[in-house]
Amino acid sequence: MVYFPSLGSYNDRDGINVEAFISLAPCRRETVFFTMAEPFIKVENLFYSYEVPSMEPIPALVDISLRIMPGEFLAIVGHNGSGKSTLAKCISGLLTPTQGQVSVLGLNTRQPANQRQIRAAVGLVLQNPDNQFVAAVVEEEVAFGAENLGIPQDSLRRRVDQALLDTGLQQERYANPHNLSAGLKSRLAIAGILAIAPQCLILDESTALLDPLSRASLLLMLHELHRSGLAIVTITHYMDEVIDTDRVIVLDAGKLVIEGSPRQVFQQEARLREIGLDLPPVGQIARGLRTRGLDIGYPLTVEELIQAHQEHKYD
Amino acid sequence: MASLEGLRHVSIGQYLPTGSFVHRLDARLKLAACVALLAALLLARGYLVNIALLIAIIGLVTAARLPLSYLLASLKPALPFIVILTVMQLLFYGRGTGGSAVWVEWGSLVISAEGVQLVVVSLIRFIGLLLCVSLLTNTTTSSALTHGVEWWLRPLTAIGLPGHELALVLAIALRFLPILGEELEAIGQAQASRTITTGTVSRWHFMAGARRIANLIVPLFVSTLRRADELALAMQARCYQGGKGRTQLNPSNWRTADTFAALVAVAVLAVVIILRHFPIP
Ligand SMILES: Nc1ncnc2c1ncn2[C@@H]1O[C@H](COP(=O)(O)OP(=O)(O)OP(=O)(O)O)[C@@H](O)[C@H]1O
Ligand SMILES: [Mg+2]
Repeated sequence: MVYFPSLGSYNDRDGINVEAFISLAPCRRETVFFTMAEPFIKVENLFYSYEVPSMEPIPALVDISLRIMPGEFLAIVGHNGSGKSTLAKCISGLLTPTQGQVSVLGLNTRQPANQRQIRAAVGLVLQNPDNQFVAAVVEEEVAFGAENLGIPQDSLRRRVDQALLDTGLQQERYANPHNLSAGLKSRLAIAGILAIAPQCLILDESTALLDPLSRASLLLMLHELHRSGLAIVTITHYMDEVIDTDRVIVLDAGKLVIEGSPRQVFQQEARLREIGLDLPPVGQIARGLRTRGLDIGYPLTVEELIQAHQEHKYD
Repeated sequence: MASLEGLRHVSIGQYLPTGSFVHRLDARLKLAACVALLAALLLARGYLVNIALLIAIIGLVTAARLPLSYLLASLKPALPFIVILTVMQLLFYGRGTGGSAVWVEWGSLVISAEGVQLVVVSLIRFIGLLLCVSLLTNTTTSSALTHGVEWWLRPLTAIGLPGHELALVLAIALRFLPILGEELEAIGQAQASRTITTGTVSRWHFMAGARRIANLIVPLFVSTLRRADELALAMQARCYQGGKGRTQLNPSNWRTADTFAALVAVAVLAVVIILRHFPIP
């Protein structure tokens, strides 16, 4: 299954403090898992409140502790306003915690001197690609982040080509970002982050505005990037996107309320419903069958449903 | 709200890659040449020189392979104002100073040859100005434009002003024009559907008009601030920390063609200035 070439050419980490990246140099997931016991991102008792003039501060995150391992595929879910975007911004150092610590590669996000390295290591793709474009040409848009890092011109060119290739945007190289379709805009926002060669990609609802087909192809791309060694944190409202991740965390009113594998999380149906979240489509079908007395278990994918159906003894 | 229609098609500030030689010219040169042409337009006297300049600019647009109708579409939203201004100027200019020929006289309304010339020349200047600026932005990428402006602002940078930042703000602001146009259109439509505007009855009523504009401007202002905020975050997320230590994907390089074009621009400006001293119609 090689849809996209490996991310080899991002590995020239010129212009960035090399020591900080040495520990992660072999970007292969297997290696990473066996050699790296150390988490890549550490969040400890994080509180964040938005300061609003002449009002009480709005608490957006309350006592969150979290570890993200290199090469992990993590999903963050929660209803609107539960603090998902705020958490993503805290992790990438765009917001400084009100209380508690966030560190990336051992670098504390509170230190202004660490910001550049942290943002280069944790690539955050924000919501609403429309409001993010600075350039009038796709390839210059992709290059923006890498230009900021001072990557020399020849490796800059290589990175941009690679990012365009990885996101399937080669055809649109000279197009105007503003004129792209929603699906391609999301891809472009991701390409711009890939070109800064992060070790972790955080996607804030990148699939929210897409039609089913663009969504499927974007997901395929994410899994391909993940396979090449990138850690991925995806924030989403679609439960079916969560099924094949390594780990899920559920936020509710700024608190981390459930954490575990997708299977573990989706078994807490009642709890999820309390929070206002639903199961993925297959889980909903299974729930319907269970309430009608068919003991079908907790399948999450169509394959599991078929298997459960075949094993089921109808007596 | 018909005048809001088509705002999204504003071509000024856009970029349209056609791969022409004008696109390949150095941004620093294009900036300077644009300023020179604008100066020439403002300094030119009489019909002939102005028309010659407009033809030259249209020639450049053609050479850049930009559709003229696309560039002129920017005029559409402003068309009602232009027509009103033109008519007023024509009617109320009066006899002029030089005792020029009077073509129509009807009570206090006088249309003189001088008045007509002023109106026509103003129109040509306005169109020329629009084409010039559109030509610049449509043939220059944001990044090249930023670096071009930054280069010209170097004296300011030398005395401690943020030249790069100013240049970037300018380039981004240009690209946001059509987005803001779209937004204005959307707000207008949303309000029309909720009938915040009250149809034709109060159309000519000044207070109603003012309120209608406020109804549009306030949400536009709010959404623009929000967008600017998000853009700033997105730039920070991509490690933007000002112009220091940045590299460039497509660095500009000055070629012979640029020197040649610069000479032509200077020559045009010089000829226009010299011609001011001759009585040309
Ligand atoms: N800039 C801000 N100023 C004040 N309050 C804010 C700001 N941004 C977010 N909030 C508040 O913080 C809380 C968490 O917001 P956040 O954007 O993190 O939620 P979210 O889970 O990403 O929601 P969504 O699914 O809508 O994107 C919300 O109550 C929101 O109103
Ligand atoms: Mg959000």
